[in-house]
Amino acid sequence: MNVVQYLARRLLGLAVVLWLTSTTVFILLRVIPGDPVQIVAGLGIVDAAALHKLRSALGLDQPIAVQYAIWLAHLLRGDLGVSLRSGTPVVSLIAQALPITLELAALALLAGITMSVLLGVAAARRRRRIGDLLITSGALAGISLPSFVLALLSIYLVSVKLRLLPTGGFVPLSQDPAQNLKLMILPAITLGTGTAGILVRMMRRNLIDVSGEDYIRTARAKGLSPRRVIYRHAMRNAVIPYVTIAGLEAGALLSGAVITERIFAIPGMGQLMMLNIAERDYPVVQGCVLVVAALYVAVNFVIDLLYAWLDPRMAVR
Amino acid sequence: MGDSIDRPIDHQQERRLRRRHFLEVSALGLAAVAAPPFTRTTVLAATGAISRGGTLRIGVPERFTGFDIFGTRSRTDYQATDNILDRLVTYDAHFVPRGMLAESWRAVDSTTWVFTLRSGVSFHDGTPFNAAAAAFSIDRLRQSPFKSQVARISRVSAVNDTTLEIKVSQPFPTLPAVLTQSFASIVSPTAYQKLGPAGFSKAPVGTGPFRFVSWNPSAELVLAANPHYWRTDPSGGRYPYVQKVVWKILPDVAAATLALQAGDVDLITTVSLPSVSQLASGPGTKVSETPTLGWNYIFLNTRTTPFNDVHKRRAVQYAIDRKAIVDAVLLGHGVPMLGPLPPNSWAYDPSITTKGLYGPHADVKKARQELAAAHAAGGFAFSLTYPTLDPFTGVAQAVKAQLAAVGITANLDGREIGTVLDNMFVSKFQALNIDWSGRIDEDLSTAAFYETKGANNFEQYSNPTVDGLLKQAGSITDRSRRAVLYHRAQALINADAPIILLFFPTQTIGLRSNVQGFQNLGDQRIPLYNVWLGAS
Repeated sequence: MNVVQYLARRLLGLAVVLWLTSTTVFILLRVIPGDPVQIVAGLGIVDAAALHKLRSALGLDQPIAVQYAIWLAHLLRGDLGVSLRSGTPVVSLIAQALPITLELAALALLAGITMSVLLGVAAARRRRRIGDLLITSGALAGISLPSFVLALLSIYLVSVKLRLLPTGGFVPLSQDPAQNLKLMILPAITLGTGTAGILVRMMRRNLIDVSGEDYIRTARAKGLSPRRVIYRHAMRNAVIPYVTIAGLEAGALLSGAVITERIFAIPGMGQLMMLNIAERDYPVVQGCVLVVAALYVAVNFVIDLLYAWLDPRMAVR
Repeated sequence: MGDSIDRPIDHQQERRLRRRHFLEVSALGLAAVAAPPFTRTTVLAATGAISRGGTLRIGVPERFTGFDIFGTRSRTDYQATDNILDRLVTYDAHFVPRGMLAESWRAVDSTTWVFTLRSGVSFHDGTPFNAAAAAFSIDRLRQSPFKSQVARISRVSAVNDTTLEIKVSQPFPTLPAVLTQSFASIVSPTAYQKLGPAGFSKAPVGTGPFRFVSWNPSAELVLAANPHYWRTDPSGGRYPYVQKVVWKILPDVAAATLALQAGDVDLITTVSLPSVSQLASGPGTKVSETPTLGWNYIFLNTRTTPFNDVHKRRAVQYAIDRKAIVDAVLLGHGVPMLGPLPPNSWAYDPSITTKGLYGPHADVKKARQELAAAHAAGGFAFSLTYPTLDPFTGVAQAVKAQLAAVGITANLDGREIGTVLDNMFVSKFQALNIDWSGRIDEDLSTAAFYETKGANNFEQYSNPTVDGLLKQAGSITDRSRRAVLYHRAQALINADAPIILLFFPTQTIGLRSNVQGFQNLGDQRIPLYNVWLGAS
């Protein structure tokens, strides 16, 4: 199978996943109780005629099958519809929120990978000594602590007590890069800690496993420094299973961002989805889920390509 | 879920929708206003001379959806628009209507109201405020989703620039109270017509103390002081005091508390109960607490078993310990409800605390007597529907435990808020715990719940005597006579127990210590015209 065929198969797979995901969400949203028109109106003394008019205007009085057909037709044209509440096109809402979440997720992944590589190496080198114990226990804590606990604790320590960083908020990168990054430091580290916790143990384990291999002993016998041995030789093999997990984590970061975005008041996809689910704003939720699912598949595709680069044995034949 | 002053309280936090009592005198200079029990409000004594200028940063828990007040809006939207737009009428701390854009008003006869308007006032866009502008706004209200609340208005006309005449088809003594609500705000006709509802929703223009500057829906709303605001302070100086107001979206309540403590915001509108004492005593922060107009209660469906039996309803009424619920679930930040009227209302009957049918604590003996009268001495079972949000989850569990003590089994049926509302609207429940944001006039609040076929009468209660009293009270203007009628209705309603009234939560606002002048009336509003930033 050549590259073109491979790509074609992957794209077809992507399309199927997206279709399945979006249809499931579509149905679920409409099946669960809670009527967007009623929720918007609440318990206020709003007359039934106005509610009915609103429902028709939003196309919510049509049978589900009809609503689905209309939505699918729009989707194939790239039109994700408009928000029930504000009338803003879903595409523009996502276009505003997505880059923010991607930035957060990318920074969190970077933070997580950096922390896990440095700490994993340190733990492997100090195997069975106190340093190793501290690092592996810390990793366990990082995995076990709920992200909101970690987030609130870190805000309390760093922002309230030490006054080093702001408690939250967001400034676009294009507007003020320095402030943007400053506001991202705490959220990225918080979000990345869960990832780091999982990856540091993996890195440590893999390094320990390969350190018994012949080629490592050869490298050491040649007189190379321990650092060179690890980073030039051991890492290359140790990193392959690590990349699998990192790839899965990258996807999980998109969903983990929901809580982090909420606590740090970052207007990304997580916040967009949460607020609109509560408001039953169907088009926005559907659009978000679709985009996130597509991203997840894309990330895993990139991971597969990364494999081929790292280990020629795994390349597509 | 609905969450404006015209909708139920937002039970948040966590999340959402929307979610308090008497603050002890503390070393930070909080002064408790002495008053009969249950009406004690904490007034933060202002310290230091008034200083002008500065930027006030406010943290709110949800996004703004738009500023077209004639559409359906959330509580947060109204908190902002109330500072950009004025109304004809406002009210004082006892919710007695007072003049705002209207200086005075009177009912000329049973079908005509005449409002004398303030002169020399202009909108933010420079156009003049006059009777024509007021008429425009009220006519828009009459076509809006809120039109049922002003259905009795038959015609609005501008007699001259400062005289507005409103004709009503039936006596409408609560018209001034209705005009205090946010949907009755006065908009600039020029701006509204030029921009249309959608455009106005993104850039409102009014006569208020602050004018709209910019709005980024996912981030913040910016307002600037109106240099020509008509209102002056007691010394003759102009309001407002601060130069700029920035509203930031802080979805997480715990994070908002931290932001206040760190000084990233100056005021937060929602404070989680455990944080209240921390903010009250903390360095650099303080709180303002007042019982709200709104209340938390349980509908008992009077048309289906088991609560079609008044004795079973009364058994529940007596078996519930409201004070314990307030202390356990609200950590003391609430007021037990002894009748349908709030303690700071002009219609409240203070004697209810001593002569009332039931008190803040449970009366197990009377509960058992009622059960015997219902031939259910061994108790009975029912399902209690409630939204799985704070404080309802706590309330439901407390109620279950308290009723179990007399042999009544409450089967807890917790559901998502949307579902609960759906069921409520069609009276598909045996008992349902929910809340209500309250109104400043009892005709607007109480009547809807107890009148036969009232708009909020989901418990399907019907008592012709009560109907008569409420109708009468709603058709006369004399407040003292109306109060007497409401007291009598209150006694009957308490005896019938169609709704188990639980408590008034408190509205708690968190502030930096240097924020002075803020008045919290418990009406879910955030008035900023008289707030200033002292030295930090």
